[in-house]
Parts: sequence; structure tokens; C-alpha cells
Amino acid sequence: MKRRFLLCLAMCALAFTQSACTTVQPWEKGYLAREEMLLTPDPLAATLNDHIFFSKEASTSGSQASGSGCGCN
Amino acid sequence: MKNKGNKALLALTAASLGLPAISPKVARAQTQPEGFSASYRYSQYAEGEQPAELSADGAVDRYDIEIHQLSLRTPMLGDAAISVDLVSESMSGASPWFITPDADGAPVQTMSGATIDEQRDEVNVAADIYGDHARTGMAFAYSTENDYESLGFRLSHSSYSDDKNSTIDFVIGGSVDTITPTQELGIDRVEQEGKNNVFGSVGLSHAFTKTLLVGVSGSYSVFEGFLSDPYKLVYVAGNLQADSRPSEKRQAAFDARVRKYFPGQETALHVDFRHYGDSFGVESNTLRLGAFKNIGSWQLSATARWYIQDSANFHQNFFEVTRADGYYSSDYRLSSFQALSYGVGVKKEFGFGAVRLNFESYDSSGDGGVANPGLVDFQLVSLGIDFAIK
Repeated sequence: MKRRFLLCLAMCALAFTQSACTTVQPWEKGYLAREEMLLTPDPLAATLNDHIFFSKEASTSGSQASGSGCGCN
Repeated sequence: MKNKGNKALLALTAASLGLPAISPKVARAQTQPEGFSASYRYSQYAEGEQPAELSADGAVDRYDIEIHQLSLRTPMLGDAAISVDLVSESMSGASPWFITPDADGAPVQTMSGATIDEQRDEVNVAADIYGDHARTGMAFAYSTENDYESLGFRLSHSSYSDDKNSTIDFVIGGSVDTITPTQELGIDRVEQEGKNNVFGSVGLSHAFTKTLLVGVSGSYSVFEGFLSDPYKLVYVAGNLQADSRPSEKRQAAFDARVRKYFPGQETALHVDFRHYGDSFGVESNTLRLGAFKNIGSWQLSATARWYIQDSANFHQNFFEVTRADGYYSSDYRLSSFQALSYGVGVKKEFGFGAVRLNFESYDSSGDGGVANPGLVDFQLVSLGIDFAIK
């Protein structure tokens, strides 16, 4: 199962590295500024998802432990 | 023409924007917000029924939660900004209590008896100060529910390269939690216990091209105190006893996120990967893929998440013999399992902001061996609205 997981990850990485590295000029950041290009596009949805996964899975994110409640159930 | 004007404005605005921190709780732009903004989300979380064949007493109901989230953010005098986030959750239902072997030796789940009704409220206040090449922030969080209180803090600092194509983030924080379990006649539970947590993370993000952004981060956390679940019992050599876990847990995680925009298709693709390990023996990998397609002022999105977890060293569905270290848990969250979730969403932009509707479905199953009968499936529906005043 882990091998299949890592293979899937490697294929995704390969697909994305088809872009060459360049220095991005200030006037070229239009696409990067779009909400869907942010690392966390919707912080409220991300916070809620983190809290749910924190309550249902063992691998909590460290920062999620801060003021997040019991998650006992 | 109007569209071209908007794109030019977007590009100019973007010139001063940067790459936000990778942690969801410190997701901040590089510059001070231009005006007041407010976001509200209403969500309904519903767990699937416990399969009757895995239930010891035929009980099948599980948790339902109603969630309200409100986020307010405004610039302050000088180069500062303040944000306030409020969360209110109303929970009701039943949760897994203990597992016993049936007549054939297969594990069956007993759920908590009466329906549990709980309320959780959280407030998170954050302040950020912006400089030309840096942002420094601090935040305090307080969460309270019937039987649990948590007080957390967080300090963060982000530095940007001269061209603002690279960002490095540092976050440290911690929390002090107190649990006072609900007492019921005939059940022996701890009366009051506490646990503390400190954590730190370092993140780096870089714009490789005008359409490719990559962020990586590493985090480390230490928990100490009462880390057991006071509401769960464990079947050990024919007897039921309290869930018992080590009083310290150290955990580390590595995150990588990739964002790629395809201008011809007006589509952004996301790939997120996370590897996690802790001193309980749990190791996990998470892969999340997302696609966001823009059609005029509409946006359609689809996400898929694949999660795999190894079990904790001291987890079994039930224990036929005692352990030398005295640690026992049958909590499904510490079992070996995998989960597949998928989500779809739609967003419509208006002059005032945006309206969003999202749906997510989560299915978990055992990953090797006999699956824990308490594994959960759930569905989540969220409706949101965003306002921005400049």
C-alpha cells in the first residue's frame, strides 16, 4: 500500500517539475495572487478540516493542538 | 475590456503580495490587509451509522455536529492588523466506548449509552505587524466545552526575499488543557487531569515560475500530561479497564504543497503531501489532490484525499493477555487504517465578496489485519459567505 502511495506521489511531482525555474517579476504575479493559488486558499475551511481530522485520526498537526478542544469523541 | 482591466489591477496588486505561511493558522499575506473583511461558514457534520454487524448491542447512531465559524479581520493604525475568529459547535450522538470479542472471537463495538449533548466555543485573537520584508504575529486561543478547557498561544514570524518570491516562516506555540470528565454512576473515571503542549515549525515557500508555487515545512511537537481518553475502556484478559497511554508524546511532521496554474484552462491544481510520525508508534502519509476551475465569476472545485496510518504500539481491538508496560487502547483513531475522502465545491464571486458551497465525504477502512469496528465515515456540508470592504 505504501509503495502505491509513494508511486502516486512521485508521478504528481514529475508532472509539476515540467516547468522551468525563472525569476518571477512583480508584474508577473497575477496568477500567483489568485485565491486558488494560495497554499491555504480558504483558511476557515482548512481550520475546520484540521479540527475534524484531529478528532478522527492519530496524526494531529502540532499547531492544531493549540486551543482546539478535546476531540475525545 | 472590463476583464482586461481587472486582470491588470490583479497583477499590480499581486506585485506587492507574497506567499503566505504554510500553516493554516498563520495563513497571512505579506502585506497589511487593505480593508475590513468578514467571513462566515455554516457546516453540518454527520457520521455514518455504526454497522449493525459490528455493534455489540445493536446501537448504530453516531455523532452529528452543527458548526458556525465567523472570522473578522481589519487593518489597524500603522502597519498592523487584528483578526478575531469565533467557532461554535453543537454536538450530539454516541461515540465508541469499548470493544469486546463476540462468540466467534471477532471484535464488536459497544457505543456510549445515552445520547451525548455537548457545546464547544472557541475564540482566537491574532495581531500581526507588517514590515517591508517581514511580518510578525501573535495569537491567543481559548476553547471551552462541557468537560474541557484549552488555552493556547502562538508566535509567528515570516521573512521575505527582496523580490518577495521566497518566504521563510517560523512558528512556536503551546497550549494548557484541562479535562474534567462527565461523571456517571457506576463508571470509574478520572476527576480532573491536565495536559500541556509545545510546538515549533519552520516553513519555506518559493514561486518558481509565474504559475508554480511550492511550500515545504517541518514541525515538531511535545505533549505531556494526561494523554489517555477518559471516556474509553479496554478489554484486557477478560476485564474492562480504563484506556491508558504514555504521559508523553513527541511527534514530527513534514509537509509539502504544490500549486500550479494553467492559464489556458483557467485551472489551478493542488498537490499536498504530509508524512507524520510520533513516539506512540503511529506513522501516517497523506496525499491530497485538488482542481479549481474558473468559469467567469464562478469557480468549481474537486478534491481527493488519501490517508494511511499505522497503529500505535499499544493498540489492539482487545487484549487477550496483559502488557508489561501497562499501556492499552482500543481507540479506532490509534488503529491501522486508511481513509479516502473526496469533495466538490462551487464558489460565486459578487461585488461584495463571494458565496461558497462545499461537500465532503470521508470513508475509512482497516489497513491490514482485523479492522477496528469503531472506524468512522462522515459527510460534511458547508455554506459560506465572504465580505470585503476596502
